[in-house]
Amino acid sequence: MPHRLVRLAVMACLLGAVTPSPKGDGGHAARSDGKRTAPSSPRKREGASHPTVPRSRLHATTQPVAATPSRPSVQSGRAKAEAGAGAGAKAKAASLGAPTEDADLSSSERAALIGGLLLAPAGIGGFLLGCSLGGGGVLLYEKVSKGVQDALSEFKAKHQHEIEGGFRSFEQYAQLTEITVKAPSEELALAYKARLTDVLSQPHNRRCFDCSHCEDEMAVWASINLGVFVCERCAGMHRALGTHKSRIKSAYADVWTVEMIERMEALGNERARELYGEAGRVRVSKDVDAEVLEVHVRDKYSKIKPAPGPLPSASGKLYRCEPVAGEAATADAGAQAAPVAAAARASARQPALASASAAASSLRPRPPKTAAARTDLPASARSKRSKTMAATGSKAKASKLGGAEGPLAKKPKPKTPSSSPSPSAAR
Amino acid sequence: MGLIMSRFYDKLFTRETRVLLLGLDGAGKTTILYKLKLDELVTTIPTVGFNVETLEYRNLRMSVWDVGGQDKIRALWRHYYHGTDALIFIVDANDHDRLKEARDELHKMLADEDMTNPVVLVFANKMDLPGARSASVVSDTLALNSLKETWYIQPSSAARGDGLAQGLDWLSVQIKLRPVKKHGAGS
Repeated sequence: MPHRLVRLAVMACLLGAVTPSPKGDGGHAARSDGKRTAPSSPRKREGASHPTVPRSRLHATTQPVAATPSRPSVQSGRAKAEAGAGAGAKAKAASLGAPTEDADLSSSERAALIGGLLLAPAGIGGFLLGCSLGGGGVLLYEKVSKGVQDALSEFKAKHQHEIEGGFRSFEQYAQLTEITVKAPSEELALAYKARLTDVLSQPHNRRCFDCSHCEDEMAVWASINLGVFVCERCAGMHRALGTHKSRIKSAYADVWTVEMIERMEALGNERARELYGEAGRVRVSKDVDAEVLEVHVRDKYSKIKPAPGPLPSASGKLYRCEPVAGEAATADAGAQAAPVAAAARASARQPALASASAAASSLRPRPPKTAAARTDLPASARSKRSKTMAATGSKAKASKLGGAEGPLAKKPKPKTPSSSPSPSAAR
Repeated sequence: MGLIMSRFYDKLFTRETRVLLLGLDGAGKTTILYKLKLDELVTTIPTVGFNVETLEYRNLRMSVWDVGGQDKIRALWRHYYHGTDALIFIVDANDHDRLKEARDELHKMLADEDMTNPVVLVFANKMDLPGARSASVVSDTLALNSLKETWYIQPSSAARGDGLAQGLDWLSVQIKLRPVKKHGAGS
């Protein structure tokens, strides 16, 4: 007889183990689904999120009733925070597949039943004890997990502003694919923009002056006093030298002045290589460790003095309006008179550039989202090495402009570039 | 005993603080952030975007936002102003040419209505470089005296790790003196 009871209990147990899983998922999914549709159908959400309450039969299930008022208060925040497309879709699918409305036992009730059946051989007392233990345990677990979820969503709600702020602002990244020139007049700015674009499109300027980063990844950083173009990583090294050695500007993230452009036009990587002699020709592989690169850059520029000539003002507050306008005209004329090959080369380069920037801009709106997604992890999860990186956050998507945080994320351990996000992955 | 109790109290109730780390490009924001976070000198690349880290310092839990300083990214700074308890403004004391530019940026950002009276800590950074201006020169150039906010200037060198702790000490004392700001309010 006891054997039979035990077998019954085991069967019930198995039954319980098999059925709760879709039910549990379904219930949860329905809840998040309900949240997603919260504004349109509050009733539905109500029904979906608390299916247990009206059907509660066991004494312990009165607890959810007490717990319910707290839920809607955080719901709006959570609904907002959890509206992640992927998760939402998954949840929806799960809710469609799960027999949420058909199942008439909550997981706590089921657990109570199983517990009761398990302890039933010990008599009615055992049954009751099993019921309360099972039901209570699951309720406790549910409460705790709900508490954790609430804390999470509260955290998200609290930081929503920041996340959205970041998202909004970095959507404006599209701007960063453009060259911006500050000049006294609109036409002058346009003319100089074209000139800088031309300078940037020259092959020698698209190879980093210090390492083997080549044109695909395009050196988009310039040292305006040294007159050379470097890659992002080397730009970081240049900045570590101090502005008295090298003054770094971004081709796209900084505003250019007429003087800076003239300087870059007059120098550029090819001329600089001639001017700076032996030291200027030394390059390292782009795959070297950060330390090696730093030593290389330090060493290289300890031997190099900036080329003579008027240095652009750092703040860009000064303009040389009159002569510059004339120069611009002559330079433009010169450019037009330049060999056709150069023009052809430039035009061949241009589509590539355009497509690259298009790719970058199409990628750009997304990465902030991943950054945001990482931002809103609970502090505990992010813990020590939490790197919520910026802008173009996601490493795989790190484009040439926004790869900033990829390498950064690795900084704690001097990274090996081979494992660094390759901008080519963005293409 | 009272001391122990207050220590205990402090331990129990860490203050959540939102700190903005701003400054011109190449001032050393990211380097300082990771120096504070990891206590090691990292080689940074220019930040096109932002970094955010949670720092725990003297029962302050600071979420520190380090936003890139390039010209065009500065226009995005204002998105980060809201609810800022403390502003750490970093100046490259070696970059004489741009001290005035830094002054303009600082005053512009503090005039923004979203900046609700933050504590202002200025790091006159890169003091290890030979051409660095002294903190008092930097302070004068930045016209810190004309600020209505509580401010403090601290010479520092992220490369050597000098001055950072002193700056944060001041910051933590100041933040503890202030009433808790409700971040959600007014949004």
